[in-house]
Amino acid sequence: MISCLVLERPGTWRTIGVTALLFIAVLPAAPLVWSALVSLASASVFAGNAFQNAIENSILLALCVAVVSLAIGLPFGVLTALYEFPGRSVFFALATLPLLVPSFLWAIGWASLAARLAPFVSTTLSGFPGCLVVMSTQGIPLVLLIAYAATLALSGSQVDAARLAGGERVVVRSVARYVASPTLLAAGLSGVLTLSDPGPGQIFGFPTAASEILISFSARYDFVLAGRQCVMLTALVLALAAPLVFFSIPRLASEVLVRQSRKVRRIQHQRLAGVVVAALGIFVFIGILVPLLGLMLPLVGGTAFFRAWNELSHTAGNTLGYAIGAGTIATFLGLPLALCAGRNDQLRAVCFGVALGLLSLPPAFTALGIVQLAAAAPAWADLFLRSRFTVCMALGLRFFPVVAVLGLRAWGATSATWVLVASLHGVSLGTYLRRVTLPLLLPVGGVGLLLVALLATADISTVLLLHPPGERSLPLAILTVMANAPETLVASLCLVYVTAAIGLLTVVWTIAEGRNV
Amino acid sequence: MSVSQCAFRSVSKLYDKHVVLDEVSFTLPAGEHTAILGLSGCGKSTVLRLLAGLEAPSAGQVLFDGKSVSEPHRVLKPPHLREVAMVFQDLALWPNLSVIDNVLLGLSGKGLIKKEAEKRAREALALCTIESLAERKPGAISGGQQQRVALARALAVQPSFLLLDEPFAGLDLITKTTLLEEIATLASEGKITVVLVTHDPTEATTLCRSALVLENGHVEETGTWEELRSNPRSEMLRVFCSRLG
Amino acid sequence: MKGTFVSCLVILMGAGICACEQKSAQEVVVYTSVDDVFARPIAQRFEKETDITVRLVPDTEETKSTGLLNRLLAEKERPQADVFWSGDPVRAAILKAKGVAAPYRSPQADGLPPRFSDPDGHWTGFSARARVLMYNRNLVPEGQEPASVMDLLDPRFKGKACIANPLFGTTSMHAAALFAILGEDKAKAFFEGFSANDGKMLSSNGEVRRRVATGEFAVGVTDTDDVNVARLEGKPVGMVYPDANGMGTLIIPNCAVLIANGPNPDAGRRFIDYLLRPETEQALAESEAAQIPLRPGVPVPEAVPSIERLKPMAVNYTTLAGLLETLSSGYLPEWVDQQSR
Repeated sequence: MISCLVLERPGTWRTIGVTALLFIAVLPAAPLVWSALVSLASASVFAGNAFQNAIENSILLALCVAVVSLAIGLPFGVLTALYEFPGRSVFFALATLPLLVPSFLWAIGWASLAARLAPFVSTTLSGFPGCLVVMSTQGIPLVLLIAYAATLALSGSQVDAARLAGGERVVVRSVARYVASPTLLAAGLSGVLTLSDPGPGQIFGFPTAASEILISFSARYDFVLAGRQCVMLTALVLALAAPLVFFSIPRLASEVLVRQSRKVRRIQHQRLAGVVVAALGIFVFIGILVPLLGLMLPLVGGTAFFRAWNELSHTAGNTLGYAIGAGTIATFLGLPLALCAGRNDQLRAVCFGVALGLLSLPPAFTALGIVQLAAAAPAWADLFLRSRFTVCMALGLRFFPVVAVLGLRAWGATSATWVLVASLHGVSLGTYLRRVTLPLLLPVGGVGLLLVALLATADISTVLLLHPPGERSLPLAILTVMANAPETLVASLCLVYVTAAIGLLTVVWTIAEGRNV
Repeated sequence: MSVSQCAFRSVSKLYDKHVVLDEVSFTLPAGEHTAILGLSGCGKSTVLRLLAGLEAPSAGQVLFDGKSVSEPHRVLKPPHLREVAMVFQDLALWPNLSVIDNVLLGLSGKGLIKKEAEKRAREALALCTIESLAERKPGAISGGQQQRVALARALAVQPSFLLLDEPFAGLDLITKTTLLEEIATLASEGKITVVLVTHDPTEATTLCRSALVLENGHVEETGTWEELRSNPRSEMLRVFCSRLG
Repeated sequence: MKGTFVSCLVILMGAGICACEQKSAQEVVVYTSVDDVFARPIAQRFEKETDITVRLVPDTEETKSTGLLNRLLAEKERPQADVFWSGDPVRAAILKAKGVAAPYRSPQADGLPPRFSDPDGHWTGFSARARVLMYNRNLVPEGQEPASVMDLLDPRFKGKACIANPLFGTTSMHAAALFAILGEDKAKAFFEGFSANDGKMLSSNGEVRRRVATGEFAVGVTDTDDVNVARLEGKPVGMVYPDANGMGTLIIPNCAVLIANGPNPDAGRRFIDYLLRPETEQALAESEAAQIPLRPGVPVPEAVPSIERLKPMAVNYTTLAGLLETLSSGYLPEWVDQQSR
């Protein structure tokens, strides 16, 4: 019998487990990365000054997005977890909507509206400001969700103690400090995600590394050059993120005191509820409703709802399937990774470093790696390498770092004494994992699954490159028709998509709130 | 009961070069109820963890009936085979499981059939007078009730050794006294060897007949209350005895 | 939560099971860079007439994702596609160069001018778009419409002219054509002059269409199908086939490419045959794409000129692909970078 004490002891199994899981995640991108590394010695990394300039722009944009996302997402997450306010589920649905809409659409919405409003608005948004607005709109919900989840891990006693010490101001300040580490990591992730997204840069005319890499892929069809550029970008990201990792990892989680079994309860506080509603309202209005308006203005001239509904009915199953499949795979990878890393700071740092590196790679890297692997594999492997499962797998591999960070935090917050008691009573490892660990980690798994599902839905490149012929998702359908489809059709598709998404998210949040997740 | 005696032989324990226990030796006869006293951080909880096999000594041996069960950096007999049950300072109830499931999970390593395990679990809950709380989760019961659950979980496995690490902190006097008397009765009836770590003189003298005083990682003195009261050597024990009145 | 997890597992398993769905007995897999709204009706008609299921895989605009061509190149060892229906000869030429295309001379190609096809038979040109000047009628008075791409350098269009990113799509092909026809110096002078006249580089032809239609720009360079879509939406736009008295208008034919070692080669050939029929050229001319049949004598609507009425640029499409490859690593990225600063 394997004692559950192994969960709290160092061991080579941890290193093996972390290595194996990270290897699985990195494997599809490995061939292209390897070709790039091999070619580094003999060729130029940059292929011109443009890439150097683009990298500087991208790093600046990523940093600013991380800061803005943290500054807005952290207080939002904390306040929404602590205080009641009306219409919570709808607000959450709207606030998390940006995660599942490709950034291209937000950028086009802004650009369209700006063009109609006044030239100076277009000029103001042109370049860096437009990119910052759009990317931050996507980064804020990620940080908000992680701050929210981290706040819920507190005990009621801790919040009450802070309340007694100095009222709500002390509560918010203490809680914000408590959730600072995982939220910082989330902000880092949101910044890194911008590095692999060429959308807003293309629309607003701001050269980014992602645009340059896209050029290498789509204009020069030079995989190896694209690979070199990606390797360079990833190395820079890791170097810049090292201080964040060294600061945050040791502070990632505080072991909960086991007598802290009373959960945080939201309270009624009129003034703060008003602040939350107003602030969230401003974010939803500026970040979501305004660009949505820009996307849907063509509806004034007519609609194409029948065609849009038709498209939705053909693609809804795939859209949901890819999203939930990706979330499930990411959870099945991310949580075991967290278990293997345990409370070991070095292993946690390695996990997070690799996670950042993976997220900074453009999605095409992993996807094209899988395409090449599938082409070299025998036909029977198509079940795994050329099916809808493949799309889920690629998306899950891309975004599993999000679940890993959540899992690292959640595991770090469990008490080591629980394992000690179990080992004294002869509870086997399997029984302990099944009866205690899994149920305790399930809420975190749920949040992670939802986050990954949202992010995966917005990933066009992976779906384009891997979907079985005829099995596209709705966001991909929107982007494939929008080149020369009537504006009314594109607007109708966007409206149908957004409405369905808001409806689904509202249901999810209502259920989650009901179970107090 | 299968173990008649437990002994520490020159046991030392270091954490990152910090010496917590320094060549500690003592013997615990079977069925004896012993309190371990000492200042905070003197190694009391470490003694319990070494006894339970949750950690290995840095030097010396832990012996059960003269046979080595732990030696330097090695635990020869794993915790679940030592017939030890422990109530931790923080109780360590699994928050996602109900009261009865906490006890049942504690019995899962015993190889009992489901019916037998259920019966034993309910008997343990009844012994601790918390049968009515069986379906509640730890978060929904009071501190005192949580301590009874931890105790029930420990007693359900019918241990030879019951290790109690400051389990009564924060309880009101009446509840504490009642629990102590119940444990004393159950332990005597079951011939369980009890080791209690506490700062409270009342707890120590109600439950235990003898004590062991640790100071700076050494055993300063040991013996029955009568022996210790008649000639306390350490400052710690002098203050302790003065509070006994 | 437990229920949600179980549901996820079931859905995942279902997705996996559905992945091994049986393929239809007769099917053809077509990757296409032609806009989905134009390609899909043709594919649906083929399905109705032949009972062969078409699995159509359309592409996004090149600036929006890594693109389908990369998927084709990566799948080379064991392709999933039978046919690549390209919106331009450059991509077709790349497929030929990388060994992804197989030669096929369709019997339906009779009547199509050979100069719009690959001499070795790896791709066959049909139904074309043209690179045109699109202008906003509210901003460009009648009689003052631009007549040449060089008019974009005219001070009257200072700050009011736009072009899509010349690293991508048909704009890249147009850039290569300018270098081929004008020579390096004059072509560079055009691009430098465009920048000096405060011309704006946008992300795509679609964006050129949208922003000229709204009046943000007075004139832009784009494709005929973009202008036609705007016209049908009632936007105040006009179109000029540029340089009719000079170097000519760049004609960009659709190209049908048979993929080497595709899973359904016979069905692939039948689909290509279907694409190359005069009836398909007529259908594409009558669609919102307003594509120009290359085969003389095909009936066209009023808004679509016949190929005989146009003066096509005298370019060799095969060598154009090679020139574009050189420009994409040299002058064009530098110019794009300059525009972005």
